[in-house]
Amino acid sequence: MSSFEYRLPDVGEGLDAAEIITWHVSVGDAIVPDQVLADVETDKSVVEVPSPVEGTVAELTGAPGDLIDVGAVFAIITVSDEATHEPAPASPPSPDEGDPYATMAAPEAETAATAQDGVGEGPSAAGAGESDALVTPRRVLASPATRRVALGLGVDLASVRGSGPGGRVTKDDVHRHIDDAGSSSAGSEPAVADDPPSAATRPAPPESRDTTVTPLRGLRRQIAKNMVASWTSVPHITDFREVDATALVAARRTVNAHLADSGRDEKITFLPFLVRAVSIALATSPKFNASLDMEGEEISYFGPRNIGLAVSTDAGLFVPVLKNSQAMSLVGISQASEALADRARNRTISSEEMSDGTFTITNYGSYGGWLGTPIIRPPESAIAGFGKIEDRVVAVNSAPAVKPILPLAVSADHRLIDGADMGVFLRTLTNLLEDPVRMMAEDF
Amino acid sequence: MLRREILRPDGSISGDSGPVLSIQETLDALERMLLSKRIDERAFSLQRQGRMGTYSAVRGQEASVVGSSLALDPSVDWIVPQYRELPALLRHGLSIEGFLSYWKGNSEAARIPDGVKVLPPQIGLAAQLPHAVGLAWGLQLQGDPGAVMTFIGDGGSSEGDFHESLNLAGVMKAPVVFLLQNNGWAISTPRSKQSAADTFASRGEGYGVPSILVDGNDLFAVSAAAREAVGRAKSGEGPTLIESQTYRLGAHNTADDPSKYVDSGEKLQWEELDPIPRVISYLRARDAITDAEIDDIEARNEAEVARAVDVLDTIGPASAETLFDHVSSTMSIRLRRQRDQILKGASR
Repeated sequence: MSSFEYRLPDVGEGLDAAEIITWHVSVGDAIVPDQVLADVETDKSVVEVPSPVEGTVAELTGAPGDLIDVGAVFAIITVSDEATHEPAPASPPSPDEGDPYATMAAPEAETAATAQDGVGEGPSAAGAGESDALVTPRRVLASPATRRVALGLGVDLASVRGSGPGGRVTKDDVHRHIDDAGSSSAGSEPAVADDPPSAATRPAPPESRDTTVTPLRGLRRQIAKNMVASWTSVPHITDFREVDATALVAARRTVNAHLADSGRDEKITFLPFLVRAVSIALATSPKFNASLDMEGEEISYFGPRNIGLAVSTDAGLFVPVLKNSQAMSLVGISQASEALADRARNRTISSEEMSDGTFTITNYGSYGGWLGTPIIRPPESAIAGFGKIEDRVVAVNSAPAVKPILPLAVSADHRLIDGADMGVFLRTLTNLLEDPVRMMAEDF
Repeated sequence: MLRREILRPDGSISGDSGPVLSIQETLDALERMLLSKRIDERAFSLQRQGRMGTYSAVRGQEASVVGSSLALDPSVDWIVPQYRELPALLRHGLSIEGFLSYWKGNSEAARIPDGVKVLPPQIGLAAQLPHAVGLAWGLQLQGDPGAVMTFIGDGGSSEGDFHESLNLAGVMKAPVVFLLQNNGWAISTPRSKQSAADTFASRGEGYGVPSILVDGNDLFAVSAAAREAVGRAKSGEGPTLIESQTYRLGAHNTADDPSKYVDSGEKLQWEELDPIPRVISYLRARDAITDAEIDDIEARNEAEVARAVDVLDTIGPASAETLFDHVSSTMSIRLRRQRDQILKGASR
């Protein structure tokens, strides 16, 4: 009997990982060649992964939901020795003794077989407890130029973590490896590998910190995907304004005084004013409350103004949506947005409460930010970011004066929104914020 | 244009058509169709295990491919394939492992054996058609008795090469048969979005190329149409366009997930029209086949595929230098430098 380590093949084309959806077999099951072991989901689709061998399932290395790297052990199958007629592993790249670059990789990595090795080997091939580097010996992937750089710097490529496709080591990785190792003295002077700089000549590492790697999962993974989708599909333009917030500060004070006078134990922040102003500006600039669909070649102009409010939580960014913001009083907006933010922070918010947004507000002022470049949340067409209101020196009648200033930035989808549209929207928005009484004049 | 139909989905014969194939020929054809199906299943599984690259299955189109190839004489006629015609190529003399080696990325192992009148697979859409016309025209000029059959799909028929090839073939009366397999899908583009024309066959008229519309899941109708077209080519009457209306029952290839775009109702309808069961029904009705005989065929095919896969597993990746072979007659300095670098082992 021997163990066959089944490493996850690239079931699509050029994929680096797949998520286990369902196992179709359990440990102890007898299996035959081509029997489906699991459904896995790749970036492209859900596919069945069949077994290459006949045997008994000895170990399944992940649970549904786990991401498995292509080339990582996926299942271990005990095969009887007479049944190991297949598959013949692809022949490993032959080590070329005369190759100065090849010697850069660890010798065992050069000579060890590739992915599907393990047929007919002893049970030790299972290697469950061994480190990853030992279980997956393979030739280090790197371009000739990178190998030359590594050779010049005396770096063993096998010890460098590759960031490229399939773990390919890049020049940057080599330089980063040197930086991480603290041997910044390596510089352009080629170091000799077996003659490391003495402790006296090497500057002491400032602080020893281990590099850690964590899987990209859950909310963080979703945020990452969304950001990439937005950044790569939507051409952003961002415009900035600094608003004299003197009247706004006074207005908020008045509203809070009104609440206190009427015996209500609550206060509002600036947020309800921002939501109200945005809501009115959206009504006059419908392109900012719209969505462009390239595939269907159409533009949807939304009726309701559903304002997404970016909320920072321990797990990452949530964007609950204040539905029909145009129909609420300032205090109503305040109460509703606080309730939504609370539910986001303690993760009791429903997906319904986070859907159907038509425009988003992000408040980077809450952590001290001044100006930023907000990223649009498709299918929305624009987003507003507000900074912290702070006293600044500004020119008033040709003389310097100190005033509370509200900085803001609006990013818009340039496929739909031109610079002139941006000007109109920002003029409306800043006029309302500089003189909040104007908000009373408008339908909301 | 009237669609030619002979073998009904229930295995009965429509109208007063006489038999197109003898019982023995029909049994041989069935064996080839079942072999094709088995290779498809196995090749998909091998790809999922990382033992082979991308593969495009024939599944659903067996009558169309096998039926048309039966009109060809492998000793004189040529096949200029696309990439989804495996059983026709096997009949012409290619080995299973040879064909699959192509999909494993080893073009040396996939080399077409000398004497086999088949050109290499063509992935670039419709790019094989100018080759086919040129080859046919050349045969004509040389007084060679052979004809050329080339395959194209509904999607490929929208390419410029398709129209240029039909035009030239019509003008030169080249002995070529354009076998257009309309399988309903160009990857994920449905037939309805491919062309506003009622049929693809109707395109032949514009080029003076006689056209035939045929039920592509009907082994007999396809065979008869192909026989007529090859006969026309060999008698000096020039090209024929055949639209074989069939359906791709599986994925476009191993990298495709049709569940994202294929309407399951439509697929179910076509599964009812599967070309293989109707041949079995036909043979059963004539007491020409038993379940045991079908099992025998399946067992023979299974053994043949297992043998081919054993050989395939011994075929490693292509050597890096083959990337540079058979592309340029004289290599540029830059290309030669790249090859030399690779041969030195700097990178694989």
